[in-house]
Amino acid sequence: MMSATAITRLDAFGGRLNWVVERFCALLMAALVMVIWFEVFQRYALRLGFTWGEELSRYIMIWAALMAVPVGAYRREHIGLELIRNALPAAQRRYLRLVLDIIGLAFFVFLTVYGIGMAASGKTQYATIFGMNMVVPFASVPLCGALTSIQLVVTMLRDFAPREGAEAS
Amino acid sequence: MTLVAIIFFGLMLVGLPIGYVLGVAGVAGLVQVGGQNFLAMAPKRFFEGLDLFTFMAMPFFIMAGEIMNRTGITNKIVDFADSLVGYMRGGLAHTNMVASVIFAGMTGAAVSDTAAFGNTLVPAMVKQGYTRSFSCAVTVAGSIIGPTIPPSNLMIIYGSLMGVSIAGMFAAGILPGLLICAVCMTYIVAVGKRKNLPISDQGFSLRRIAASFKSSFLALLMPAIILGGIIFGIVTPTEAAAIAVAYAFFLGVFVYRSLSFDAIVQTLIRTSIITGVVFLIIASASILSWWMTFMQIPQSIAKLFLSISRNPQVVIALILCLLMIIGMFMDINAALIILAPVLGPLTQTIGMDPVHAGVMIVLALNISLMTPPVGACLFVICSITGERLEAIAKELWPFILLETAVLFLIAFWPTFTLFMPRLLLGK
Repeated sequence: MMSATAITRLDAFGGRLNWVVERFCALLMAALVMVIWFEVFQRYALRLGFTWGEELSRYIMIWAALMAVPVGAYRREHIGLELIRNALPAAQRRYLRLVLDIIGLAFFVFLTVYGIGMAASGKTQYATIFGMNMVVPFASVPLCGALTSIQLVVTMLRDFAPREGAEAS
Repeated sequence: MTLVAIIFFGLMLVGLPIGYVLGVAGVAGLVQVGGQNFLAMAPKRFFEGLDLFTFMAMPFFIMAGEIMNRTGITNKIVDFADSLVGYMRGGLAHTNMVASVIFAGMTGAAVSDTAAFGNTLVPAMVKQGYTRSFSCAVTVAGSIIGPTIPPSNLMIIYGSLMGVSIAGMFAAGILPGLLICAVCMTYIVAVGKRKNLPISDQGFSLRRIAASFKSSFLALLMPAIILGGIIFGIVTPTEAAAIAVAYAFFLGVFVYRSLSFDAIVQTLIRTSIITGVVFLIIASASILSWWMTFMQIPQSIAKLFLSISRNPQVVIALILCLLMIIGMFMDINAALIILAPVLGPLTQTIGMDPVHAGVMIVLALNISLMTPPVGACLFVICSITGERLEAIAKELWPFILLETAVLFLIAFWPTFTLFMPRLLLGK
C-alpha cells in the first residue's frame, strides 16, 4: 500500500495534469468554433471556395473530444450503471470500483499501444488538405489513451486509499 | 458470439462506464473473429467512428446551451412562459411545460433541460406549495420535449450514421414535441383540482405577456434562427449550430454582459467534457459495431423480428418495446449507436419512411430517459433537488404512460409526423 503522502502527491500531479489538459481542450474547442465560423463566413459572404475547413474542423473536433476523455476520467464523469454497486456494502463497493478501474485501465493502455502503431502508419497516409499526412490526426488516439490511463491510475489509487476529508464521490 | 455478449452485459451490469464497456467488448469481438491480427483495427475504428462532419453540430449545440444557461436566459424564458400560462391552476407546472418547449428549440439534450429547470423551477414550485416530487416529475416529463423538438443530439447521431436527412428529422420532431407538451398540460389540468395544485395570484394579462416578450425577445430569437435556418434549408445543421453559438456568445458578452472571460473558458471546458463523454461512447461503439456487422447480427435480429410477424404494425410495436426496454438499462447514445444499424434497415423492410422511423426510434429512447432504474433525467433531477427517486417515480408514471401513448400514435400515424417535413421541405 502506498503511503498517504505518496497518494497526496499523486493526486496533486493528477490535478495539475488535468488543469493543463482542460485548458488544452478549451483551446481546441475555441479553435473549432473559429474554423467553423470562418467556414460559414467564407461560404456565404466571401465565397472564397475554400474546402479545407471541413476536414480541418473534423480533426480538431476529434482532438477536442478525445482530449476531454482523460478529463472525464479524472472527474469521474464517464458514468455506468450503479444498480449493483449501490446495493453493495461500502467496503465491497471500494473493491468493485478498483476492479472496474483496472479493466478500464487495460482498455486505455491497449488503445495507447495500438494507437501508437496506427499513428506511425499515418506517415504513409495522406489527408486531402495541405498535403498533410495522418500522423497528427491519428496521434489523438494514443495520446487520449495515455492521458486517460494516467488519470485512471491517479483516481484509482486516490479513491481506493482515501485520505482524510478527500473522499471522492 | 456469446462470449462478447456476456462481456458486454456483464461489465455493463457491474457498473463499468458504458464508453469503456463498448470498447472492451469490441476488442473482445475482434479477438474472437480474427485473433491478434485484428487488434490493430481497434484504434482505427475508434478514430473513424468520430470522423463525421455532421457530428460537429453536437458540441456546438451543447456550447450554445451552456452559454445560454450562464447568461441567465433561462430565467427570461421561464418568465415569458409564465406570463402565457401561469395564471391557470397549477400555473407553474404549465409554465414548466411551455418553457421546456421554448428551451427545446435551443438545446439538443434532455438532461440540460432537466438541469436548467431543476435548478430554477423546482424550487419556485415548492415555494408556491407544490410537492417536490410532483415538481420534479413535471420537470422530467417536460425535459423529454427538449430532444424531440429540434435541435436534437440523438437525431444528429442517427442521421449521421444512417444517412437520413437531419433537417428532415428536425422538421419531423416539431409536432410530436408539441403534442407531448399538450398531452402533459391536459393531464395537469385534469389532476389540478384533485391534487389541489396552487393558483398563482397573478392573473392573465396581455400587458404582462407583452412586457415579458419584449424582455425575452432576443432569447426567443435563438430557436427561430436555429430552426428557420435549418428547416428552410438556408444552412446545414452544423452551420446553424455554429451560428447559434455566435448568437449566444453575442448575447452573453454584448447584450446581457454576463459572460466574463473566465466564464467563456469554463464554458469551453464544460462543452468539451460533455462532448468527450458522448464521443467516447460513439468511438468505442464503432469498434463493437464492426464486430456486429461482421457477425451479421443486424440481419439475425431482423430475421427474428420478421419470424414473429410480418405485419408492419406488430414489428413496429416490437421495435418500440425493444427500444424502451434497452433504454431502461443503457445510456441512450450507446443504445442508439448500437441499435440504429439493426433497426434502421428493419424499418425499411416493413416500408417505413426513413425520417419517420428515425424520429420514432429517437423518441422511444428519449422516453426511456425518464424510466427507472436508469433514466438519465431522473438521476439529474434527484442529484439537483435531493428528492428520492421512488417518490418522483410515483408522480411520474402517468406522464410516462401518456408520452408512451404519444410515441405509439406517432409510430402508427406517419402522416402526422411527416406533415412538417412535407410542408417545409417538400419531402
